[in-house]
Amino acid sequence: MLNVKKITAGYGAADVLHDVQMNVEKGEIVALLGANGAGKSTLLKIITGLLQPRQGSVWFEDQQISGERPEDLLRKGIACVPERRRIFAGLTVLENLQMGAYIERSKDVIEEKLTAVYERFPVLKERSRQQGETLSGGEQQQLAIARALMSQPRLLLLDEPSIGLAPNLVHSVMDLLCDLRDDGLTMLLVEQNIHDALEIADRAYVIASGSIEIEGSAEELREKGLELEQTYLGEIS
Amino acid sequence: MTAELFIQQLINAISLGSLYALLALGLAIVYGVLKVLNFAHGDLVAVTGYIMWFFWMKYEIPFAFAVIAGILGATGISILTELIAFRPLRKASYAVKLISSLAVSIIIQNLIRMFIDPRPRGLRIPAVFDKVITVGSFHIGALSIITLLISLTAMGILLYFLLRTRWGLALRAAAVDFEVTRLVGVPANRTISLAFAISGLLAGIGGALWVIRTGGIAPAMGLNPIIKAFVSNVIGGLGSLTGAVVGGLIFGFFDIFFKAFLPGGARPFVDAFALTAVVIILFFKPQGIMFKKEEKLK
Amino acid sequence: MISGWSRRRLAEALSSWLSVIILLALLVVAEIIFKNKSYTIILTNFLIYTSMVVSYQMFMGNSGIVSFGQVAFFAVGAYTAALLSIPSEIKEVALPTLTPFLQQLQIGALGAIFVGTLLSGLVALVIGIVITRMEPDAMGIATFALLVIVFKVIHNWKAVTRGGLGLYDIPAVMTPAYAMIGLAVIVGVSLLFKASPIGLKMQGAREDALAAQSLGNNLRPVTLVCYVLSAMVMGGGGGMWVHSIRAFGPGSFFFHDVWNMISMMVIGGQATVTGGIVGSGVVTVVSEIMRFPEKGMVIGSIEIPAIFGAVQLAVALLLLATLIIKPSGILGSKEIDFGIFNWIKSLNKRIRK
Repeated sequence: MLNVKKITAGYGAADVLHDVQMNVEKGEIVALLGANGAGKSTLLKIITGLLQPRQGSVWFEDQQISGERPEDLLRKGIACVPERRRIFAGLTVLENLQMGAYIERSKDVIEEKLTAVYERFPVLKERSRQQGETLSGGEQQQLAIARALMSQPRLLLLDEPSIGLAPNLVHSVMDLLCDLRDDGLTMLLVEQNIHDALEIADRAYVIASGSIEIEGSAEELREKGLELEQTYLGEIS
Repeated sequence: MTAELFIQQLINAISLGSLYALLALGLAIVYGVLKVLNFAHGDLVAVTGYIMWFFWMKYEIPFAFAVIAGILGATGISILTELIAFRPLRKASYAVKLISSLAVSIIIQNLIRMFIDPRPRGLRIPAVFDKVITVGSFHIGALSIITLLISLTAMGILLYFLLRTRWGLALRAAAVDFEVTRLVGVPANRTISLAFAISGLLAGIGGALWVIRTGGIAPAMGLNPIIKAFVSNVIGGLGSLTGAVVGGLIFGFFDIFFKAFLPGGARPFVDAFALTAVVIILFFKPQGIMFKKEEKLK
Repeated sequence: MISGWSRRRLAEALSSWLSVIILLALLVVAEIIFKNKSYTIILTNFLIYTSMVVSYQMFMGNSGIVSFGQVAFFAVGAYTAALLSIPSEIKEVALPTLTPFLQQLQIGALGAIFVGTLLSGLVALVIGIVITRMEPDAMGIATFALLVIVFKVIHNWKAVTRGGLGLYDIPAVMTPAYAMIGLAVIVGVSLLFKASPIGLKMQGAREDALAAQSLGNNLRPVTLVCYVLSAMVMGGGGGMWVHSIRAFGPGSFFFHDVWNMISMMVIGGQATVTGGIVGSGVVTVVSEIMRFPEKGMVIGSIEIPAIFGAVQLAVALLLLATLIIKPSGILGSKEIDFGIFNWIKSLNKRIRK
């Protein structure tokens, strides 16, 4: 579904990503693991179009998307859950969700999607008139994911959804992602938290210093376990 | 000061404050999406004034149409300046954007000097604005009332637009987090152009009211409006729309009442006092009056 | 962290400084030889404007804060120097309500400029102590407020400044040679500051927000020193300026001059001290050329009417173009440097052989 072909990219003088290659097939959860500064966020920026690659290309469903504007991403079926949630502060929960459905013009369709989302995330229905920033960390994470789901994407990109969340909340998020996969959603999960990510992923890539060092099925990587942590990810905080 | 005088001055203050608020809002809308102060905003007042002069004084077209033409002109020029100066510099640093807005301001002023007239000119203001309405023992200027009514209407419409329409929502979201707004599919260019269009519209309306109030135009007349707008925003808190309105009202009050109460010799120094107050406010509350420590935009 | 003076940086600064002096000396010598009146005026204005720009760059370049308020110190220095330099007889007529002490006081131009410089520094110190406690964004706004305040005060304190009418009959002692000396001093101070450990600290903080945070409170006194120094050179420039222009008013200190200054700095390159010289030169040349269409001219039998605003428009367009095409300015990040030391070294080598 998603093909990242030999991407080299960077800001300013140096390159942050070197010849990165990876794939995500329909219906799977692929984890991209790496420490801070390894290049995970940069790669996401390339995929979403916020940054242009210097070499290489990105393909989605056999169409080239690298070089496209971020605005067109949603229309193509890719939604993003940004790092640290980044929900719209100052807007209510409802308005946040409405923004997620921005490209949809029909009020009825939006109502439908809203109902579906409220079913999955009852706490958001409760708080629908509250300002987004008054929600707890876990609730904000739900809101961020819900917002992304409003556009009914075929591919969901998640940037470190577990960051800053208590362990039990992380588990609920991961369970949620499993449910979503069962419903047919494909996901690219970028994470520093390899344990939880590998629990739910089908396949995984490990990126360090801008290059893909390891790739394989989640099982294989789980076996490597401790070695992975120490070699490629440094200390897990 | 008698009760009547006080109330009359109060109305004047609210009226002037609402005009300042209008100008401040225009500035704040662009600041919300671009995070930079648009110096050329004040010159849109000049543009409005000159277009009004053109239609009303030179070609004797009915005043109302001249005003509408002026407002449309300001809106158009605002959108144009975005296309020419701000879009190419979208990714530039804050300092570069600020300086380029200054450049645009100078360019507009000099185009006026070049193609129309470098000298100041007067406008004959229709008599209706000079009328004084007497209610009991109160004398209220028609100008004050009209200014207040128009400003409130404009702000009301803006509020409705921002709170209840899809584009208004997108604009608010863009002011909070531009990047994520793009990720949910909102076109960046169109949003910014919209912000400039609204900003120009507000500048046009405020500009028309300004010109009616002062009765004259000059190429560099945009300086005063931009100072008023800027100070209002700072008082209320940069980036906050409610802050712009509150700041404008406060500044309006300050202007009227300080001038009324100050001893004659100190009167010209009103603006200096206002700005000193601004600096003091900034010292204690760098985010302006509306903000608590870490609050974000409203 | 940097703790002391770096020899290399000092050598670079010295090399740039000498290069600048050579450049300026050539211009001044040309004036002495050719004695063309308009060239003299243009050159003097250029030198003094450049002093302004370089002083301005000293604060903005090192701190990264967009400050519109520095021009206020130019005004302080200008008015102080003028008040002390104008002959007493003139003051009695022009400023009848001025305190007799100041009316009678008349010190030479050099002294007047010097006092102006000191006073600017003092004012900057008082204001700076307050301003540097603010956050950077607030600081920029506060300096703008300062400028407006000074402008309004000048306009209205008629007893001292004659308000909008301005002061006149200042002794015309400023020659290009003197201006050059003044500019050389200012450039020297600026280059020295840029190379100093204090300057480096500021530049580091400007580049990296994290570094700035870790420096935290240590940054304040440093910024204050820079602010005061910059204000003093501004004031000195103002003092020099009044002695060349002989008569001036508050209109000169407001947006128009701030504007010119910023244009020169950006066009030349805001990261460098000598960028101001290049920028000032370019803007001066363009302004002088555009002065012809601004006044209207006759070419052969064709009469071209005065095009008002030609000068300002040209400069503004040039500025905008620079920002869009090459925001780092003409010089970018390299100071003017004719590589004098390298030249001396290679000369040495040749002699040794």
